[in-house]
Amino acid sequence: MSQSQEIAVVGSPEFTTGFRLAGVRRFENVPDGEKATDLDAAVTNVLADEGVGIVVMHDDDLEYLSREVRGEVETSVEPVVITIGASGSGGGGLREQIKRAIGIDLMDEEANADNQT
Amino acid sequence: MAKDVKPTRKNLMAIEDRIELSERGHGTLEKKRDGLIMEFMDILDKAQDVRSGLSDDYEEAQKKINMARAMDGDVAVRGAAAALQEHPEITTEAKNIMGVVVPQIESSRVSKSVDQRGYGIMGTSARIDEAAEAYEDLLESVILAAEVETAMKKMLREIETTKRRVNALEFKLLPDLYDSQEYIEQKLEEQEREEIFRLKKIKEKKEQEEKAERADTDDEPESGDELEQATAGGLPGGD
Amino acid sequence: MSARASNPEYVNARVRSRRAVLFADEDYRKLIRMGPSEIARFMEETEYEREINALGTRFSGVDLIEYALNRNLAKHFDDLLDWSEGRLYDLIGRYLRKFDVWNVKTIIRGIYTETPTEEVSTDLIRAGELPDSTLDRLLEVDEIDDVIEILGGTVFYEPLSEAYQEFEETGALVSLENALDREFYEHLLDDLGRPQEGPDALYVEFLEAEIDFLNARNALRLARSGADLDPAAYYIEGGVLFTQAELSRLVGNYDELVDHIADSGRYGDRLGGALARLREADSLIQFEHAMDAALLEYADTLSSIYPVSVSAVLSYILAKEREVENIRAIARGREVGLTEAEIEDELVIL
Repeated sequence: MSQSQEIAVVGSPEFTTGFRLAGVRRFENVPDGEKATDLDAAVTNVLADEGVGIVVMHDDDLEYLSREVRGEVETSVEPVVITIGASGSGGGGLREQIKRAIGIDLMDEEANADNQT
Repeated sequence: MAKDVKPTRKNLMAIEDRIELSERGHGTLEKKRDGLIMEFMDILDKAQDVRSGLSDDYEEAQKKINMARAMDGDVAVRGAAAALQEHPEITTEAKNIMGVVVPQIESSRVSKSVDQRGYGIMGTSARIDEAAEAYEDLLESVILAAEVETAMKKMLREIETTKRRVNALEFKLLPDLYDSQEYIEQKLEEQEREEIFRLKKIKEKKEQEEKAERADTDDEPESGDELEQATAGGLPGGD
Repeated sequence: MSARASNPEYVNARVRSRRAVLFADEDYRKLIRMGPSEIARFMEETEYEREINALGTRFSGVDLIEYALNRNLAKHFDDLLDWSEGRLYDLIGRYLRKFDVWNVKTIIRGIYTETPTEEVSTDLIRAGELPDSTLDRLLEVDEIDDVIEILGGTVFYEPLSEAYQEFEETGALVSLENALDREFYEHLLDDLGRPQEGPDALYVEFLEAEIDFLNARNALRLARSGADLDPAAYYIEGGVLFTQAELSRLVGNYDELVDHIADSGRYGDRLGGALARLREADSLIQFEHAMDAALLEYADTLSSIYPVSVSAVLSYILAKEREVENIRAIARGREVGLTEAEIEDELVIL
């Protein structure tokens, strides 16, 4: 468990370039127009790479994934997939998992806000 | 299922042992589940902080790289990225939270100074430096997020398993055991009652025989004895 | 070619017609209000028609615009070298050498990251002195030392060979990239002396400013990042703002470094606003922007005083570069959703 691993980034070239500027060299460029057909394979590819410990993706790109791959992305821990993007909340799958495991929607912003008042 | 157990005192004791053990296990598991949920809530709080930091860092990084791509051109930014020499690495150590192995991620070579990146300083600009720096910061947040989100996922899995085991004990195993216990107890009581009855009968018979012996000499009728035997045959028999 | 007589009259006559098709301020004002695809369509009706059409099948959006701009710029600059002779060729050639530097750097980076040849090729800006045939041969090799071999006989061969040793030791491209950039900057002022008046005076002043600003910029970048780098590694001789010793001393003290630039008679006023901002904010971006603007201010004066000198040709080169940068900045700025005001304030230099 303690061997060193790399960070990988998957997405459109505009998304990956910045991470490459920070030194990430494991990247899969999939232009927007090809995501519907190619993103599944690119993601599966990095998930299967033992040298990769963390995969970075854009929130919006999850929409392009098939059910199975999306499920993998949401539950995988080795490597773990971190999604970032405009929405900010992140972890749509996590929220469902929390509801299932704990029985309460802990990530419901409105409910939490209500509790505080 | 309860009817499969042989209603013996030995089995009853065995079931009572199992009940005691399962009840204790149920209590422990419930405590574990509640503990895990408490730990999870802590991590969730932390995760939400990390998440919002991540969003801020991403926004900042995007702003910086957009500026660089606008002023220096995308080609120049990609070119500088291609010259990067140091690649961030992570090593994962295991940490134990209530029996759940969660990762502790150490990273190296994420933040770099201008001269450590690998691109020539003369042919690049501060815009590219600042974009690189912003993305290095973003990566630090990503690594932090990876740590807490992996922990959350693992904790959630453990919570789910524990919850399933608590439920299985509470709604299946324990009710079954209670059923068996009750059934055996009933059976044993019945057997006891029959035994008493039987002994009573034997005693009565003995007394009657003794009486008859005496009546042999007295010439007494025996019809009452036949009636008693028919009633005894109508009682449900145990096995 | 250098053996022939310099021909600034001829070249400047031809440059005048090229200058005439440069975008006017009002064109930029139109562009700022357009989206990326509108910008591409607008360009199709201008000077950039041929490049937009040629690249339109392979690229779209702002990438199309950026590649079309680069290719068009390369075409014009190539023409300048074709037309000019003698000393003029020499002076223009050494200025356009920055594109050779860019191309060699891009090819080396491509090898370093094992990027497919075609992708590397698209990123080249074939505007320098190196002939296309050399660039094509460079694109075909897989090893950096082969690149250096092919460059045998060019000005880049020796500095690259020296830097290669360091590359082998460190595995970082820095030494190679710095060697290339240094080769460009250090020869800009060769045999020009320090003329105080006449057509060369402004030209030299401009090149000095370019070197000074480069030194200042890099010193500030290093000071800010706390990098422990010997200033000799990037200091370029030829400017008037710093000696190497001064730079070495100032790089460790950010505030003094800014003071030093502000106190300089030549640049203090031109960069005053940016320097003030530099003291308050931590960002060098505004400062770079101000330096770019100041350089272009020089460039504008270059053509007006001696219209048939090398200064006038250089002024055109700079104006064309500015056009390319402005259109690119507007298109990229629009693409990422910057407002018109932001683009006007922070990106475009009119």
